[in-house]
Amino acid sequence: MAEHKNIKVVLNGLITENPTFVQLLGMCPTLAVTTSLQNGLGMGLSATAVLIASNFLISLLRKVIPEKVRIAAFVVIIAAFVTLIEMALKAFVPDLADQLGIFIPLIVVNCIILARAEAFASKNSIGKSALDGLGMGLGFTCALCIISAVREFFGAGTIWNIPIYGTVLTPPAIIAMPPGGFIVLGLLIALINYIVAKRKAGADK
Amino acid sequence: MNRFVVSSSPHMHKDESIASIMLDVLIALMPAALAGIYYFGWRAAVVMLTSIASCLLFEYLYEKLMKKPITTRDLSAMVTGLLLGMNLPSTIPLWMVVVGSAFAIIIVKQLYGGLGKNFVNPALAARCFMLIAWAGAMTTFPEPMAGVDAVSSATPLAVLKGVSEGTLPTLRQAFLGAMPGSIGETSCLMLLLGFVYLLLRRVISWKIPVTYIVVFAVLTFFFGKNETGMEAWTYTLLHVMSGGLLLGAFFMATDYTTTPTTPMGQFIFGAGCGILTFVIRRFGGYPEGVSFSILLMNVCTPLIDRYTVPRKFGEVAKHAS
Amino acid sequence: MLHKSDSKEIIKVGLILFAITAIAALVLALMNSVTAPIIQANEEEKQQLAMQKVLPEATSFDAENLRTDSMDAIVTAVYKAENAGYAVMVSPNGYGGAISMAVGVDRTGTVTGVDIISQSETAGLGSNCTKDEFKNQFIGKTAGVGVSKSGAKENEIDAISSATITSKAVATGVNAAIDAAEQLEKGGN
Repeated sequence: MAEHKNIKVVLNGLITENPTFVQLLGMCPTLAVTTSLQNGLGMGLSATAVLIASNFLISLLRKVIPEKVRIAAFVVIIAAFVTLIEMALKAFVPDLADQLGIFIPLIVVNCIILARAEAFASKNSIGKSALDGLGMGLGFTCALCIISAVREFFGAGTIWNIPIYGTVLTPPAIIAMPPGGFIVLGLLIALINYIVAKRKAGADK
Repeated sequence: MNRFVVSSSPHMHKDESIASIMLDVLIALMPAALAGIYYFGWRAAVVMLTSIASCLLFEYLYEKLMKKPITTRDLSAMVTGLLLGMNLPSTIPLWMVVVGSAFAIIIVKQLYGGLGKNFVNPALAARCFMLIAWAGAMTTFPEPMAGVDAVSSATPLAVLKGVSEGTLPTLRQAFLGAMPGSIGETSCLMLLLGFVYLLLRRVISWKIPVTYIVVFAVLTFFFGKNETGMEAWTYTLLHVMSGGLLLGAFFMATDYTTTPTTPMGQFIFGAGCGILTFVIRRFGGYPEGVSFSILLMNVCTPLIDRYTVPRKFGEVAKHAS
Repeated sequence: MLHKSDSKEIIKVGLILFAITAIAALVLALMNSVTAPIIQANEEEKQQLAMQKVLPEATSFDAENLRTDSMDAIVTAVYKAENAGYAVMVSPNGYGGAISMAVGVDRTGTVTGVDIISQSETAGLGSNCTKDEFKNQFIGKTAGVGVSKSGAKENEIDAISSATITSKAVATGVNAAIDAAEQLEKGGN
């Protein structure tokens, strides 16, 4: 059942091995850009695009790239895609590019991408690698969206820049500031661990 | 389960239950809290009652939800609530007090395992959370004795630092507490009464508070940025008596779980708080630095404890082989 | 000493890596040639908009930066609008770093508008400087704008409460902008 397996590859990145909540990879962009849902989604989708493209190309070239210089080759490929995306964002969605600022170039050093290139794309077929990139990218995007929605709601009183309660009560700005990033991320990981543990306990019975 | 178990050595038997210690702390806080109500009116009482009630409620709700033993009767949540309330301006919106209490009890205290396991002081952490979250509401202080329609006015520390304009209290006013500030921090006299009570009851030791205040005062006397033209000792005394220094030194830098247990460690802790408070007030962006200083030293406490454990009799320092 | 096969291997590996790098560079160069003009146009448009906002009467701005060394160091750029005045870019130091702002000054040295382009002031206090109630106070003011903490008088603005440093920084920026515009106006005539 090839189809079933493909879905599994995607779901693996989305849930079972979620890069943010389970593998705790790429914490720097996670904490830094998740101040609003728009930023979170933009960062997530940009990273997803880079992940799919780099996984695809690295898998394609996995027999050509010599073992000894593979990391250097991976970094060149990833950096090239990131720069492409940065140019595209600046040209066609300048507002988003302004808000994400330095974090777009920093996708290069996002460990999720290099980790997937090394752990998956260099060992698997092209189709599977692209799917893995999609799954991991969506997992990253979903995680960023959840964190940034929570932080935007509590820190700014808005969702997607639409005011929810900010006019009535002053939202605690600290949630949208760096300490809030750590607090919200910690609480969400705790919540997810709790749910996972509960489901496991349920499955064991 | 009501025994107070402090983990680090040396172990000494103490015959008090948590509740009786907490009760002593509550009694010691009373004079300053009453002074706050006297100077800032009924709104001050409402703020303190709100924070006490919500701290107790969140403690109860969390423990109920997590199916843990209910510990509201040990009074520790009540102390946290009262301390938090005393650290707030009397004009603060009540819903903010409720959110702050939730932060103190749930995030700082319970998520780390409850009383005795939190690594920073819950009331202080909540105050800092609120200060950063609602900088505006947290730094608007009413004039004392001005009734409900009090206009906001600058704290002595802000005036001393030159970031706001206003009149400075006289030393007498500062000693009695007739100056703008958080509800429970202004009255030097009443805080001293509570401190003496706690010392007499042997609930706390003098080491941290005295080191803290002395180190801070010496630094301020010699290196303070005195631009007011007043004499250095007056300037120093005003600095010591205004802001949260006394409230912090007497009641929050002496919290059992978040401060060192060894005598040497307590001197280091007090000195560290004094230096940090001076540095923040002198060079930092905020006019007041007591909360941040104590929190930072709270974080250092495990390290201080580790390096100041008294050597056992006869033990020889290890040599590198 | 390297064996012959080793040196061959090194050359092969090097060439492959070179090929990958060369292709990447080529693709990037192509993309750059497509997007560079669009990016530049975007940035110019953004600046035009910011200038238009602070100098509403202006119809178009000269592209030439008129900044001279005799102006305050916080003035970063000055653009002249046909007969309407000057748009001055200033970045005074606030509480949390430089505040980047645009100030419109007409030919008589009167402020026509202030816009905060970017700032990193304390959220909830200094960050209120982006609000219209604060910014619009500067409209109509002339050289030597003062900051008041208790009721603004002639040619003064009300400080943001609990954010005196930010308020003073913005006022400093506005004063530097007025000065820069007046210098140009005098020099031009």
